[in-house]
Amino acid sequence: MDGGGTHVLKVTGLVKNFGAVHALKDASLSIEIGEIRALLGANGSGKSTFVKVLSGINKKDGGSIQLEGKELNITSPITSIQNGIAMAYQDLSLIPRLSVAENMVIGYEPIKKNGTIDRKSMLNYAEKMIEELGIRAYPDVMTENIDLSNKGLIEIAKALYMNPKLLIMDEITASMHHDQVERLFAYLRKRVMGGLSIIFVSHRFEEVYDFCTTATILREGISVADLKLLNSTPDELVYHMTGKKTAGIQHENVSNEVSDSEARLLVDQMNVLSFAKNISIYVGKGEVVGIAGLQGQGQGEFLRALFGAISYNGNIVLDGANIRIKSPSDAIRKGIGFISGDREKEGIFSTRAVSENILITETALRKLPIMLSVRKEREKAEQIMKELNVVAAGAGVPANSLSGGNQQKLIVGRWLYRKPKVLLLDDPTKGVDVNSRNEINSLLKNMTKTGMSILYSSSDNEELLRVAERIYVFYEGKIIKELKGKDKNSELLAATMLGVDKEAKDGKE
Amino acid sequence: MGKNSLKHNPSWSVGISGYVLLLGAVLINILIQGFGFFRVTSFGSLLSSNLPLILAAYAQMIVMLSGGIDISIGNIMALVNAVAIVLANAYGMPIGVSWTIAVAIGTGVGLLNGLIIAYLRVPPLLVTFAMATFIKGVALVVLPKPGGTVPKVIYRTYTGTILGVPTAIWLILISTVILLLLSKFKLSKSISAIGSSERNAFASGIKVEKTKVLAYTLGGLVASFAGLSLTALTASGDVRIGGAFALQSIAAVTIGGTLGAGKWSSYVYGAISGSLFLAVVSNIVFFAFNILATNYPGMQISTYYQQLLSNFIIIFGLASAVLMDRQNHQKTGKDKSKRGIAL
Repeated sequence: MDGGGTHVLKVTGLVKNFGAVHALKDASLSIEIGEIRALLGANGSGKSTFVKVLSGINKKDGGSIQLEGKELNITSPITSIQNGIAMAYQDLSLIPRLSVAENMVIGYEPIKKNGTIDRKSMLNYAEKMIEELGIRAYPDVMTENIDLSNKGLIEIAKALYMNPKLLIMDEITASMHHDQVERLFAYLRKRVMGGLSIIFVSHRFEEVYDFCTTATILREGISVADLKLLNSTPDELVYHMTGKKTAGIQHENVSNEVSDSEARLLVDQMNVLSFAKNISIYVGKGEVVGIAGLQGQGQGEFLRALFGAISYNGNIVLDGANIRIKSPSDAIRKGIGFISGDREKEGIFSTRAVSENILITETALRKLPIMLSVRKEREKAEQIMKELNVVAAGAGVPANSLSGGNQQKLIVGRWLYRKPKVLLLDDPTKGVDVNSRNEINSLLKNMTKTGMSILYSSSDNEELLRVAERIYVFYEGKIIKELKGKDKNSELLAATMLGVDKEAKDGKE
Repeated sequence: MGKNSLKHNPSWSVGISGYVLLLGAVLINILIQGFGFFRVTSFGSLLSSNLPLILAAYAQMIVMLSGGIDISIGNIMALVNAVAIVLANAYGMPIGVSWTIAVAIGTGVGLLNGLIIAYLRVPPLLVTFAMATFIKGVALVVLPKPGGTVPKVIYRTYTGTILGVPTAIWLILISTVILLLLSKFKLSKSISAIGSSERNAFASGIKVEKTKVLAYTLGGLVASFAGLSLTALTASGDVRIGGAFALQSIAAVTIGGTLGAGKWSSYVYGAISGSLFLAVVSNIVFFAFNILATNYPGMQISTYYQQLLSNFIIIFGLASAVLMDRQNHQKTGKDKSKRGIAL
């Protein structure tokens, strides 16, 4: 691209690995003074890692970062902030226990001569930003009592406090209302005139076209395109993000048995707090139904509500009977299983033995504290391990001595043993190597042959298209489309997920 | 998701569990003891004998605000007591010098705690527990047997009055004001920040390790003063009396309410009301047993029963403080995920 000294930031060949996972392989991006650049990519393309390297949360493993022509070695957020790189985090960096004003200046409070905090100038800044951005909050209110959209605005006011040269906005607008976003953009445009540069990460194409002039697209950790938005269509962006042409649709692996079988699970107009609204789905016996959506569109909460972990209202019909699910243990008794992709938090007991990890659903549901026979448990566990092809030193070793893929197999093994009627999967193959991934998926497929139904949510579109017969697409807490048959292809799926598909957004089907 | 509460700043509700419990305890105390409770001598002696606890609670509050815990506070007090007594009695140092050295040593223990916790990333519970055992050993080497004394003027003044007001009240006032003034400094915000969300504090450019070290050091400093007030109160050295203060200080801070979110000052008020609650409870129990003994002469009640009863009340206080905090949280709609399942 055009050289010269007007670049505020120039990143070349950035590399970042998390263990065996290559989050960033070769990511480059350069941005000029006063430029607003979009950073786009599908789920897992490395956008978040990229911006977190710039903000100092993650340390780079290779590549170069040049700020105003000088190599910058970012070792912690302090380096970034002090060199004028500010970040508004997607999951926010606010301190719940401090007030709105205190949060805006945290770490860099204005100090009076006697060493105390200059409250007046702190409040001045807070009031100014509250006014400019239309934040609905008072400076002295504790931040934990503010709602999410206003917290996002506070996060931006905080990022701007040190007068940065570069502002990175990581999907921060996702929780905001339309008018809030408009006002924010208007204000930021003024700042851009004053020399601020912005890297804007968002999944909302309207916002990207409205706000940004250029775009860098990441795919699988590699920057694949650098475009001017004025002469690129959304289809082109989607093409670069997914690497698939709109024309050449591959239909060969559309799923086999399209079952018009009896209903197994019916959900009617289910609401899950503020996360998901009016969700109605149908799952047939032995059917694999997919759930797609960008991160945080309510699909995770929906699945957890079905498993009794979050309260909900609405109707659930399982095998013709109306049921109410009170808790996860209730769900398991009624024949519903759940596998989370977040093994550490919601899956594995990492320091406990492999056998215990497989048999936990069984032991947890025993009514009477009958003595457990260690030998019998081991035998059962060993049998399941054989079926699952788990690579482990034995049934007695702790689960954390296994690879991620093998740990996930243990969790699948729990349900292999339990044989639920419906198995809910929330990104079950996240961070799992290709081999284990295929093994897990073929195993699940086998389980459906005995009549088990699967509700499969995944951030990997290709996987979803492969395994699911129909796909419900979640967008902002609603199902905006059901894709099946011819419509079940990666282009339409990607477009629907991003909310680009106008027809789908206006109403369900 | 909670509505944006623009009008109310619910931070006042943080220390409220402490106030409510304290008020209840004081009322019961008046019922039992009569208005003699407010006489300068009885009120003064209640406060002077509990000043060490109040200061220990302040020390614990600072550490707990930073997201940690300090089990060694009680033994820091014991070490300070032993050093202050031995240096003055066995080595003939002036009180000023021996007490300053004692405070420096106590603060040093806090510093060491902080360094290990922040840079070696060992859990605070383990570090301070090990430290407690270690410095108890040191204190026993310094002062193997209880003994020694402090000049009369010190303990007379400590338990007496200045300008007609009990000295203990002056000391409580001074320490409380100093602690409240801390909230005007950047350090207090950094401590609150790392205790509230360490990851976000890191992302905000706060020096997390340095702040942790400072929090434990400050805790050690305040605990050292608690040790000095214990020395003035008992007018002698005894390594065994310090130990119980660690858990009592945690109880006091918890009863005052640190679990929620709130301003620095509300935590200070919470800590003092929590420790006064503990003080008044033992006062109540003491007087209740006194009444029994005077009305039924010949009745023998072991003091173990006093401890048993007052600790039972403390458990009740802790439980209700935690419950009140939880209710506050539910009101502000924070408890979104049932049973802490990650979303």
